[in-house]
Amino acid sequence: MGISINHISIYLPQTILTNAELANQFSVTEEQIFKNTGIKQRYISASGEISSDMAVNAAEILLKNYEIDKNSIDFLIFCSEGFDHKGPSTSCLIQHRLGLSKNIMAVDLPYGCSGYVYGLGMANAYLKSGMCQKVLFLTADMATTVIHKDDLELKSIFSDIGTATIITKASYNDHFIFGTDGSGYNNLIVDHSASRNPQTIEKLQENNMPLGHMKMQSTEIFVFAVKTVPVLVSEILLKHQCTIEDIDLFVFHQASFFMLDVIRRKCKIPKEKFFVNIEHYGNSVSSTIPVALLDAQQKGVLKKGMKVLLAGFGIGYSWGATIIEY
Amino acid sequence: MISAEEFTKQLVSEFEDVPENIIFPDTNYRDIPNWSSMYALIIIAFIDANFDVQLNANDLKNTQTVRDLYSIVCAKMNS
Repeated sequence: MGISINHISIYLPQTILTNAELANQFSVTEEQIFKNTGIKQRYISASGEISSDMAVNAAEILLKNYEIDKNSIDFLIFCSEGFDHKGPSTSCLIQHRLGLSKNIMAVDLPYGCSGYVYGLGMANAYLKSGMCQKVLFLTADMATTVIHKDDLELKSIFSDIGTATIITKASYNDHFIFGTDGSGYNNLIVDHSASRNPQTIEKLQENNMPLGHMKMQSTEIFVFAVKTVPVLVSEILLKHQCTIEDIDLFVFHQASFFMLDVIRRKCKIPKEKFFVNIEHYGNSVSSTIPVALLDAQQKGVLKKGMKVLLAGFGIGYSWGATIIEY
Repeated sequence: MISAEEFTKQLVSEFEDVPENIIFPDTNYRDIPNWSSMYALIIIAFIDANFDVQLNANDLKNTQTVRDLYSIVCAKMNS
Protein backbone atom coordinates (compact mmCIF):
# COMPACT_ATOMS: atom_id res chain seq x y z
CA MET A 1 0.00 0.00 0.00
CA GLY A 2 1.11 3.54 -0.66
CA ILE A 3 -0.15 7.09 -0.44
CA SER A 4 -1.95 9.22 -2.93
CA ILE A 5 -1.54 12.99 -2.85
CA ASN A 6 -5.04 13.99 -3.92
CA HIS A 7 -4.92 17.76 -3.70
CA ILE A 8 -2.49 20.52 -2.73
CA SER A 9 -3.23 24.18 -2.03
CA ILE A 10 -0.86 26.91 -1.00
CA TYR A 11 -1.19 30.25 0.74
CA LEU A 12 1.19 33.05 -0.18
CA PRO A 13 1.48 36.12 2.09
CA GLN A 14 0.85 39.44 0.36
CA THR A 15 4.31 40.92 0.98
CA ILE A 16 7.02 40.03 -1.52
CA LEU A 17 10.67 40.85 -0.84
CA THR A 18 12.53 41.38 -4.11
CA ASN A 19 16.25 41.40 -4.82
CA ALA A 20 15.95 45.10 -5.64
CA GLU A 21 14.72 45.80 -2.11
CA LEU A 22 17.47 43.65 -0.57
CA ALA A 23 20.10 45.34 -2.73
CA ASN A 24 18.85 48.68 -1.46
CA GLN A 25 19.22 47.58 2.15
CA PHE A 26 22.68 46.06 1.73
CA SER A 27 25.68 47.11 -0.33
CA VAL A 28 25.23 44.46 -3.01
CA THR A 29 23.64 44.28 -6.44
CA GLU A 30 20.49 42.41 -7.43
CA GLU A 31 22.65 40.29 -9.72
CA GLN A 32 24.96 39.22 -6.88
CA ILE A 33 22.00 38.12 -4.77
CA PHE A 34 20.55 36.14 -7.66
CA LYS A 35 23.92 34.60 -8.54
CA ASN A 36 24.44 33.37 -4.97
CA THR A 37 20.93 32.05 -4.34
CA GLY A 38 19.07 31.62 -7.64
CA ILE A 39 16.19 33.45 -5.96
CA LYS A 40 14.42 36.54 -7.30
CA GLN A 41 11.74 36.99 -4.66
CA ARG A 42 10.50 35.56 -1.38
CA TYR A 43 7.28 35.87 0.64
CA ILE A 44 7.13 37.59 4.03
CA SER A 45 4.34 36.96 6.54
CA ALA A 46 2.52 40.07 7.68
CA SER A 47 3.05 41.48 11.16
CA GLY A 48 1.05 39.28 13.51
CA GLU A 49 0.47 36.62 10.86
CA ILE A 50 1.90 33.40 12.28
CA SER A 51 2.52 29.91 10.91
CA SER A 52 -0.86 28.47 11.90
CA ASP A 53 -2.63 31.41 10.22
CA MET A 54 -0.88 30.58 6.93
CA ALA A 55 -1.62 26.87 7.35
CA VAL A 56 -5.30 27.55 8.08
CA ASN A 57 -5.52 29.85 5.05
CA ALA A 58 -4.02 27.14 2.83
CA ALA A 59 -6.41 24.56 4.29
CA GLU A 60 -9.44 26.78 3.75
CA ILE A 61 -8.47 27.29 0.10
CA LEU A 62 -8.10 23.52 -0.31
CA LEU A 63 -11.35 22.58 1.46
CA LYS A 64 -13.30 25.14 -0.57
CA ASN A 65 -11.71 24.58 -3.99
CA TYR A 66 -12.02 20.81 -3.89
CA GLU A 67 -15.33 20.73 -1.95
CA ILE A 68 -13.91 18.36 0.62
CA ASP A 69 -16.27 17.10 3.31
CA LYS A 70 -14.61 18.23 6.55
CA ASN A 71 -16.06 15.21 8.35
CA SER A 72 -14.16 12.85 6.05
CA ILE A 73 -10.80 14.01 7.48
CA ASP A 74 -9.71 11.82 10.37
CA PHE A 75 -6.05 12.75 10.80
CA LEU A 76 -4.55 16.24 10.93
CA ILE A 77 -0.79 16.83 10.83
CA PHE A 78 0.66 20.30 11.24
CA CYS A 79 4.34 20.54 10.37
CA SER A 80 6.12 23.68 11.50
CA GLU A 81 8.88 25.02 13.70
CA GLY A 82 6.79 27.99 14.74
CA PHE A 83 3.91 26.93 16.96
CA ASP A 84 1.25 29.07 18.63
CA HIS A 85 2.08 27.97 22.18
CA LYS A 86 4.28 25.47 23.97
CA GLY A 87 0.98 23.86 24.89
CA PRO A 88 -1.54 22.90 23.68
CA SER A 89 -0.54 21.45 20.31
CA THR A 90 -1.25 23.94 17.55
CA SER A 91 -2.95 21.15 15.58
CA CYS A 92 -5.69 21.15 18.27
CA LEU A 93 -6.31 24.84 17.67
CA ILE A 94 -6.31 24.27 13.90
CA GLN A 95 -8.91 21.47 14.23
CA HIS A 96 -11.19 23.98 15.95
CA ARG A 97 -10.46 26.88 13.57
CA LEU A 98 -11.17 24.73 10.51
CA GLY A 99 -14.29 23.20 12.05
CA LEU A 100 -13.01 19.68 11.56
CA SER A 101 -14.62 16.68 13.22
CA LYS A 102 -13.80 16.18 16.90
CA ASN A 103 -13.24 12.47 16.19
CA ILE A 104 -9.79 12.95 14.69
CA MET A 105 -6.15 12.56 15.62
CA ALA A 106 -4.29 15.86 15.49
CA VAL A 107 -0.54 16.10 15.86
CA ASP A 108 2.18 18.71 15.56
CA LEU A 109 5.28 17.71 13.64
CA PRO A 110 8.12 20.02 14.68
CA TYR A 111 10.32 19.59 11.64
CA GLY A 112 11.95 21.88 9.10
CA CYS A 113 13.27 21.12 5.63
CA SER A 114 12.72 17.35 5.87
CA GLY A 115 9.24 17.86 7.36
CA TYR A 116 7.16 17.23 4.27
CA VAL A 117 8.66 13.79 3.70
CA TYR A 118 8.33 13.05 7.42
CA GLY A 119 4.64 14.01 7.29
CA LEU A 120 4.06 11.81 4.25
CA GLY A 121 5.77 8.97 6.10
CA MET A 122 3.51 9.43 9.12
CA ALA A 123 0.44 9.60 6.90
CA ASN A 124 1.57 6.44 5.15
CA ALA A 125 2.03 4.56 8.43
CA TYR A 126 -1.34 5.59 9.88
CA LEU A 127 -3.20 4.93 6.62
CA LYS A 128 -1.51 1.57 6.26
CA SER A 129 -2.40 0.60 9.84
CA GLY A 130 -6.04 1.46 9.22
CA MET A 131 -6.04 4.08 11.97
CA CYS A 132 -7.24 6.71 9.51
CA GLN A 133 -8.63 7.06 6.00
CA LYS A 134 -8.00 10.66 4.96
CA VAL A 135 -5.17 12.90 6.14
CA LEU A 136 -5.04 16.69 6.06
CA PHE A 137 -1.35 17.57 6.14
CA LEU A 138 -0.47 21.23 6.70
CA THR A 139 2.94 22.90 6.56
CA ALA A 140 3.84 26.49 7.37
CA ASP A 141 6.74 28.40 8.80
CA MET A 142 7.68 31.98 9.43
CA ALA A 143 11.44 31.70 9.16
CA THR A 144 11.74 35.35 8.21
CA THR A 145 10.74 36.36 11.75
CA VAL A 146 13.82 34.70 13.27
CA ILE A 147 16.36 36.26 10.89
CA HIS A 148 18.47 39.16 12.10
CA LYS A 149 17.79 42.37 10.22
CA ASP A 150 21.46 42.60 9.12
CA ASP A 151 21.75 38.99 7.91
CA LEU A 152 21.71 39.32 4.13
CA GLU A 153 22.49 35.65 3.49
CA LEU A 154 19.47 34.28 5.38
CA LYS A 155 17.21 37.12 4.29
CA SER A 156 18.04 36.26 0.68
CA ILE A 157 17.03 32.63 1.09
CA PHE A 158 14.03 32.19 3.36
CA SER A 159 10.36 32.67 2.61
CA ASP A 160 7.06 32.27 4.54
CA ILE A 161 4.41 30.06 2.88
CA GLY A 162 1.60 27.78 4.07
CA THR A 163 0.47 24.61 2.32
CA ALA A 164 -2.28 22.03 2.66
CA THR A 165 -2.28 18.49 1.24
CA ILE A 166 -4.95 15.80 1.25
CA ILE A 167 -3.54 12.28 1.42
CA THR A 168 -5.37 8.97 1.04
CA LYS A 169 -4.42 5.33 0.43
CA ALA A 170 -3.15 4.16 -2.95
CA SER A 171 -2.79 0.68 -4.34
CA TYR A 172 0.92 0.74 -5.30
CA ASN A 173 3.70 0.04 -2.82
CA ASP A 174 5.88 2.86 -1.62
CA HIS A 175 8.75 3.00 0.82
CA PHE A 176 10.46 5.66 2.83
CA ILE A 177 13.99 6.24 4.01
CA PHE A 178 14.75 8.57 6.89
CA GLY A 179 17.99 9.71 8.47
CA THR A 180 19.08 11.74 11.45
CA ASP A 181 22.42 13.13 12.57
CA GLY A 182 22.03 15.45 15.53
CA SER A 183 25.77 16.17 15.60
CA GLY A 184 25.03 18.91 13.07
CA TYR A 185 22.34 20.61 15.16
CA ASN A 186 24.38 23.73 15.78
CA ASN A 187 25.07 24.40 12.09
CA LEU A 188 21.48 25.50 11.49
CA ILE A 189 19.66 26.51 14.62
CA VAL A 190 17.11 28.96 15.93
CA ASP A 191 18.94 30.00 19.06
CA HIS A 192 17.29 31.64 22.09
CA SER A 193 13.96 30.14 21.06
CA ALA A 194 13.15 27.62 23.80
CA SER A 195 14.40 25.98 27.00
CA ARG A 196 18.07 25.50 26.05
CA ASN A 197 19.81 28.88 25.99
CA PRO A 198 16.55 30.77 26.46
CA GLN A 199 15.75 34.32 25.54
CA THR A 200 17.15 37.02 27.84
CA ILE A 201 16.33 40.67 28.39
CA GLU A 202 19.85 41.56 27.21
CA LYS A 203 19.38 39.61 23.94
CA LEU A 204 15.99 41.18 23.36
CA GLN A 205 17.43 44.64 23.89
CA GLU A 206 20.29 43.79 21.53
CA ASN A 207 18.35 42.44 18.57
CA ASN A 208 14.61 42.59 19.33
CA MET A 209 14.00 39.01 18.14
CA PRO A 210 11.53 37.57 20.66
CA LEU A 211 10.98 34.32 18.73
CA GLY A 212 14.67 33.43 18.46
CA HIS A 213 17.64 34.01 16.20
CA MET A 214 18.36 31.73 13.24
CA LYS A 215 22.04 31.03 12.66
CA MET A 216 23.49 29.02 9.80
CA GLN A 217 26.98 27.74 9.02
CA SER A 218 26.60 27.67 5.24
CA THR A 219 29.67 25.64 4.39
CA GLU A 220 28.78 22.86 6.82
CA ILE A 221 25.17 22.76 5.63
CA PHE A 222 26.32 22.64 2.02
CA VAL A 223 28.76 19.81 2.69
CA PHE A 224 26.11 17.88 4.66
CA ALA A 225 23.58 18.16 1.83
CA VAL A 226 26.00 17.39 -0.97
CA LYS A 227 27.30 14.33 0.89
CA THR A 228 23.98 13.02 2.17
CA VAL A 229 21.42 13.56 -0.57
CA PRO A 230 23.11 11.59 -3.40
CA VAL A 231 23.38 8.58 -1.06
CA LEU A 232 19.75 9.07 -0.02
CA VAL A 233 18.67 9.12 -3.67
CA SER A 234 20.61 5.93 -4.46
CA GLU A 235 19.14 4.16 -1.43
CA ILE A 236 15.53 5.09 -2.14
CA LEU A 237 15.91 4.04 -5.78
CA LEU A 238 17.35 0.72 -4.64
CA LYS A 239 14.55 0.23 -2.12
CA HIS A 240 12.00 0.66 -4.91
CA GLN A 241 14.12 -1.46 -7.25
CA CYS A 242 14.25 1.23 -9.88
CA THR A 243 16.73 3.59 -11.52
CA ILE A 244 16.86 7.28 -12.37
CA GLU A 245 15.44 6.42 -15.80
CA ASP A 246 12.28 5.01 -14.16
CA ILE A 247 11.53 8.28 -12.34
CA ASP A 248 9.45 10.88 -14.18
CA LEU A 249 10.23 13.83 -11.93
CA PHE A 250 12.56 14.64 -9.03
CA VAL A 251 11.23 17.16 -6.53
CA PHE A 252 13.65 18.02 -3.76
CA HIS A 253 13.51 20.48 -0.89
CA GLN A 254 14.29 23.83 -2.52
CA ALA A 255 17.25 24.81 -0.35
CA SER A 256 19.23 26.99 -2.73
CA PHE A 257 19.59 26.85 -6.48
CA PHE A 258 23.32 26.30 -6.32
CA MET A 259 23.09 23.46 -3.80
CA LEU A 260 20.35 21.77 -5.83
CA ASP A 261 22.40 22.03 -9.00
CA VAL A 262 25.44 20.40 -7.39
CA ILE A 263 23.26 17.62 -5.96
CA ARG A 264 21.56 17.08 -9.32
CA ARG A 265 24.89 16.72 -11.09
CA LYS A 266 26.26 14.37 -8.43
CA CYS A 267 23.13 12.20 -8.77
CA LYS A 268 23.37 12.39 -12.58
CA ILE A 269 19.73 13.46 -12.88
CA PRO A 270 18.87 15.04 -16.24
CA LYS A 271 17.91 18.73 -15.96
CA GLU A 272 14.53 18.19 -17.59
CA LYS A 273 13.52 15.72 -14.87
CA PHE A 274 14.66 17.90 -11.97
CA PHE A 275 12.09 20.46 -10.90
CA VAL A 276 13.39 23.71 -9.45
CA ASN A 277 11.17 26.70 -8.66
CA ILE A 278 13.12 28.43 -5.90
CA GLU A 279 13.53 31.47 -8.16
CA HIS A 280 9.95 32.64 -7.53
CA TYR A 281 9.23 31.24 -4.06
CA GLY A 282 12.49 31.12 -2.06
CA ASN A 283 13.17 28.48 0.59
CA SER A 284 9.93 28.08 2.54
CA VAL A 285 11.28 25.28 4.80
CA SER A 286 8.81 22.35 4.98
CA SER A 287 6.55 23.99 2.38
CA THR A 288 8.98 23.88 -0.55
CA ILE A 289 8.06 20.38 -1.78
CA PRO A 290 4.25 20.86 -1.86
CA VAL A 291 4.75 24.32 -3.41
CA ALA A 292 6.96 22.71 -6.08
CA LEU A 293 4.53 19.82 -6.67
CA LEU A 294 1.61 22.20 -7.22
CA ASP A 295 3.72 24.51 -9.39
CA ALA A 296 4.94 21.56 -11.49
CA GLN A 297 1.36 20.34 -11.87
CA GLN A 298 0.11 23.78 -12.93
CA LYS A 299 2.96 24.10 -15.44
CA GLY A 300 2.06 20.71 -16.93
CA VAL A 301 5.42 19.20 -15.93
CA LEU A 302 3.79 16.90 -13.37
CA LYS A 303 0.83 14.78 -14.35
CA LYS A 304 -1.29 12.26 -12.49
CA GLY A 305 0.24 8.80 -12.48
CA MET A 306 3.82 10.01 -12.76
CA LYS A 307 6.49 8.47 -10.58
CA VAL A 308 8.03 11.21 -8.43
CA LEU A 309 11.05 11.01 -6.15
CA LEU A 310 10.74 13.39 -3.20
CA ALA A 311 13.67 14.26 -0.93
CA GLY A 312 13.79 16.58 2.07
CA PHE A 313 16.94 17.45 3.99
CA GLY A 314 18.27 20.09 6.33
CA ILE A 315 18.00 21.36 9.89
CA GLY A 316 18.64 18.63 12.44
CA TYR A 317 20.43 17.25 10.51
CA SER A 318 17.44 15.36 9.27
CA TRP A 319 16.59 13.85 5.91
CA GLY A 320 14.09 11.63 4.17
CA ALA A 321 13.00 10.42 0.76
CA THR A 322 10.24 8.47 -0.91
CA ILE A 323 8.96 7.65 -4.38
CA ILE A 324 5.26 8.23 -4.96
CA GLU A 325 2.88 7.75 -7.81
CA TYR A 326 1.34 11.20 -8.12
CA MET B 1 45.71 7.57 -2.27
CA ILE B 2 45.15 8.35 -5.94
CA SER B 3 47.71 10.35 -7.93
CA ALA B 4 47.66 14.16 -8.15
CA GLU B 5 46.66 13.82 -11.80
CA GLU B 6 43.67 11.61 -10.99
CA PHE B 7 42.72 13.91 -8.09
CA THR B 8 42.71 16.84 -10.52
CA LYS B 9 40.62 14.93 -13.05
CA GLN B 10 38.03 13.98 -10.44
CA LEU B 11 37.89 17.51 -9.03
CA VAL B 12 37.40 19.09 -12.45
CA SER B 13 34.53 16.70 -13.17
CA GLU B 14 32.71 18.32 -10.21
CA PHE B 15 32.62 21.66 -12.01
CA GLU B 16 30.05 22.12 -14.69
CA ASP B 17 31.21 23.59 -17.99
CA VAL B 18 34.90 23.54 -17.08
CA PRO B 19 36.88 21.59 -19.70
CA GLU B 20 39.27 18.99 -18.32
CA ASN B 21 42.11 20.12 -20.57
CA ILE B 22 42.56 23.53 -18.97
CA ILE B 23 43.11 22.42 -15.36
CA PHE B 24 46.24 20.53 -14.34
CA PRO B 25 47.80 19.77 -10.95
CA ASP B 26 49.89 22.94 -11.07
CA THR B 27 47.07 25.21 -12.24
CA ASN B 28 45.96 27.90 -9.83
CA TYR B 29 42.43 26.69 -9.25
CA ARG B 30 41.19 30.25 -8.73
CA ASP B 31 41.95 30.79 -12.43
CA ILE B 32 39.03 28.55 -13.33
CA PRO B 33 36.78 30.60 -15.64
CA ASN B 34 34.04 32.43 -13.69
CA TRP B 35 35.60 31.41 -10.36
CA SER B 36 33.38 32.30 -7.40
CA SER B 37 33.11 31.37 -3.73
CA MET B 38 30.62 28.71 -4.81
CA TYR B 39 33.51 26.79 -6.39
CA ALA B 40 35.24 26.80 -3.00
CA LEU B 41 32.17 25.09 -1.55
CA ILE B 42 32.30 22.48 -4.31
CA ILE B 43 35.97 21.81 -3.52
CA ILE B 44 35.26 21.44 0.21
CA ALA B 45 32.32 19.13 -0.46
CA PHE B 46 34.28 17.05 -3.00
CA ILE B 47 37.17 16.49 -0.59
CA ASP B 48 34.86 15.76 2.34
CA ALA B 49 32.74 13.27 0.39
CA ASN B 50 35.57 11.46 -1.38
CA PHE B 51 38.44 11.52 1.12
CA ASP B 52 36.65 12.12 4.42
CA VAL B 53 38.88 15.12 4.98
CA GLN B 54 37.34 18.33 6.32
CA LEU B 55 38.89 21.51 4.99
CA ASN B 56 38.08 24.91 6.39
CA ALA B 57 38.28 28.36 4.86
CA ASN B 58 41.83 28.86 6.21
CA ASP B 59 43.04 25.66 4.56
CA LEU B 60 41.83 27.01 1.24
CA LYS B 61 43.43 30.40 1.85
CA ASN B 62 46.80 28.68 2.18
CA THR B 63 46.54 26.96 -1.18
CA GLN B 64 47.00 28.15 -4.74
CA THR B 65 47.18 25.14 -7.02
CA VAL B 66 45.27 21.90 -7.27
CA ARG B 67 48.45 20.15 -6.14
CA ASP B 68 48.42 22.25 -2.95
CA LEU B 69 44.92 20.94 -2.27
CA TYR B 70 46.07 17.41 -2.99
CA SER B 71 48.99 17.79 -0.58
CA ILE B 72 46.74 19.03 2.22
CA VAL B 73 44.39 16.09 1.68
CA CYS B 74 47.32 13.63 1.74
CA ALA B 75 48.75 15.25 4.88
CA LYS B 76 45.40 15.21 6.70
CA MET B 77 44.74 11.61 5.68
CA ASN B 78 48.10 10.57 7.10
CA SER B 79 47.85 12.58 10.30
